[in-house]
Amino acid sequence: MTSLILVTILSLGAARADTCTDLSEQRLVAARALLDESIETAAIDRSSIVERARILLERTADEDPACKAAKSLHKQASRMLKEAEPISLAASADDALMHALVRVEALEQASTPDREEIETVRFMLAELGSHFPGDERVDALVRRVLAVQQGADPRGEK
Amino acid sequence: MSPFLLPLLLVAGTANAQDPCNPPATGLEDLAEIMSLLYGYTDEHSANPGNFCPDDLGRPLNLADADARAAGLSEGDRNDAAELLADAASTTDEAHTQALANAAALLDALLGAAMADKDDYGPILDAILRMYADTDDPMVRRQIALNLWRRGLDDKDARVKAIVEKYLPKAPDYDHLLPKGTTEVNAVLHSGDDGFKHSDFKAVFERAGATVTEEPGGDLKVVYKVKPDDPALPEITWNLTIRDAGWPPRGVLDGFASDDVNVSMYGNHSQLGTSIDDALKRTPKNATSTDFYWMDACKSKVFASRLTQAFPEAHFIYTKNSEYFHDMPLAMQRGMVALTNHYDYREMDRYVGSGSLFQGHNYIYPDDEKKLAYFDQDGDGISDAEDRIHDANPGHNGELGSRAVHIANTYMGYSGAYGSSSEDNYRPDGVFDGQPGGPVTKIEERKDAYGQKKYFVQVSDETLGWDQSQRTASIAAEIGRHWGESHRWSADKTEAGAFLLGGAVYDVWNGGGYDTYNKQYLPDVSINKWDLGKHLDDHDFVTSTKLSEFQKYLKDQRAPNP
Repeated sequence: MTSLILVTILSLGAARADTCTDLSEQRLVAARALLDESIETAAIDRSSIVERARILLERTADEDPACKAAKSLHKQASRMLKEAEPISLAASADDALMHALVRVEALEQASTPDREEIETVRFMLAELGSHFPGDERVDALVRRVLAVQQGADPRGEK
Repeated sequence: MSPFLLPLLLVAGTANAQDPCNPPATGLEDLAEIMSLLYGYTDEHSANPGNFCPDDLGRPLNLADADARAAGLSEGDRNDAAELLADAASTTDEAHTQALANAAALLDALLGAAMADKDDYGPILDAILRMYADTDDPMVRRQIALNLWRRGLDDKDARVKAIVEKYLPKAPDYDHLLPKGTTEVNAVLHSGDDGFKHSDFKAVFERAGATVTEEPGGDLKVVYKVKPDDPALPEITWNLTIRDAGWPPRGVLDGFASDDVNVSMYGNHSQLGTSIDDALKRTPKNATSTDFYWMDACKSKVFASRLTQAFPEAHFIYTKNSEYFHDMPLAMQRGMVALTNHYDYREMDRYVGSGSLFQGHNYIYPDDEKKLAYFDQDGDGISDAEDRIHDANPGHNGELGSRAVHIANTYMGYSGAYGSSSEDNYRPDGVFDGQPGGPVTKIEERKDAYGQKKYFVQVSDETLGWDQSQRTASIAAEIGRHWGESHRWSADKTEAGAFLLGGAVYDVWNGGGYDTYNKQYLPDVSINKWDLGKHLDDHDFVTSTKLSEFQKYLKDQRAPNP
């Protein structure tokens, strides 16, 4: 947050010294608003909002090359993107795991678990596992589904 | 015509000297010589001036032969020949598509020879661009543009860049999708049971600030107001219907390429490409629509050959790999933000793929030249990335073969025994005259249009009348066998893997012709398709473990009975 405020102050100062067109100034305001929003928004959306700011700043700089504030703010946005990407991805994994957990619990509570549902949840967990290899949370869910499956079909056949 | 060309002519009787074309061709006096020089019909062709018809130029063209002949010409003769071909094309009307396509291919042969010799190819390029401007035939224009792309001239010449971009568009057609003054857009997302069950459409759109209402019957109505980041652009209200298209999906192209809906999406299973079967039967084709469709199913590139035939100018986004149900709603919601912001496709790729998607860059956007490897516009079975001649009437549906090759590729990529690096190593390469009971493929290795070594697969015409399960399974089995042999697998492993790879198609589609498939690829062991499924994993893929077990199973079956 501190770094963002600093960047905003610096870029505002730079903008005054620049010869940005009115439209560029409006775009700079919009880009700063996006960068502010990215801090406050859900972690899962953070990197995508920073990327929107970057694209807007690139367009501003392309159309108005004299507007140096657009370039300097873009540099800062790029640094923010590097920080935001792993945070968004981790939040996305949490989101998917929560989704999977609900499904696994539903299977465990069902008196007769649906075979197709078991397969689908297994498939979903396999996808998650391939994306997050070694994630203990995924492995734990896989074991729970396996237990449900063995209860549902002791032969373990397709 | 340069006098230097004259000694090269081999004059023989005209193809039909007593039957001059009607109406008589004019301005084509020298075309005879070009035909003789480039066509390979010198033993039977006439240089009889003034007796050439547009149809003559439509005779089957051996392009390798024409390339060799073009390479043997001098720079001056090549330039003269290009001028004459462009003249000929300008007097040939759209009724003679093949003649025009052949003229364009011959011009490409001349251009290739000039570039190889490092000549000044400007006069030939000028002739080609003149032909592009003179013809109204959309398929011939497409062929000319893609031939120039293949020569890499879109990076060197602004005129070429402009025409290539029509086929590799940099951005959605915003003048069509969001014409000036637009504030509301209707869109539809076709999903189904699993899409609704596993993709959290409601949560994703609500988190983005949309209003989501559940309709009787299960559809979702989403009203999503998107304020663009750029103050110069208007706010758009997206009226999105997320509908249950059922399974197998029905009508997933309904409203597409019509006046009703300009932005469509699909978010459910691919089923090896059959998810669009119903839709293609009921939705009229449209040669000019530039509507936008996000085809968000696993490896939806296998849809591309048929969709581009039906909607050659529409903007489809395909997936390269599996698509996570988790990613689908995020991609769709971000797609609407991207469109509202008038992003071009590179910007769309960056924004949509940013951070929270598991496979953020899983999409083949319309500006991606790699898409051409999956297209087969004329249905001759050769992918558009490699196809230098539009075949106006291939005489067979070669697309059935190219689709099967792509499906075999995707199945290898899914199957752990082959590995993900095996995917997309095989490219469709047309149709050959096969024999009943004979091999269904001919495979040769060479560089593709992107400069990478690939295996090119010709498909037997015998397969084109088969049930699609049998055709796809047989082609997959032979590709699997080729892969095993090329990678020094043991004979047992190669045979078992190939049979399972093709057999997996039956486990997904359950189509006809299985017994013939069994006899062709495993003649001494009879195994029914239900039992075969037990040798695949839960998702019908060929894993290394299952393959080892199947090898053992075959060994046991073949062991002498004590």
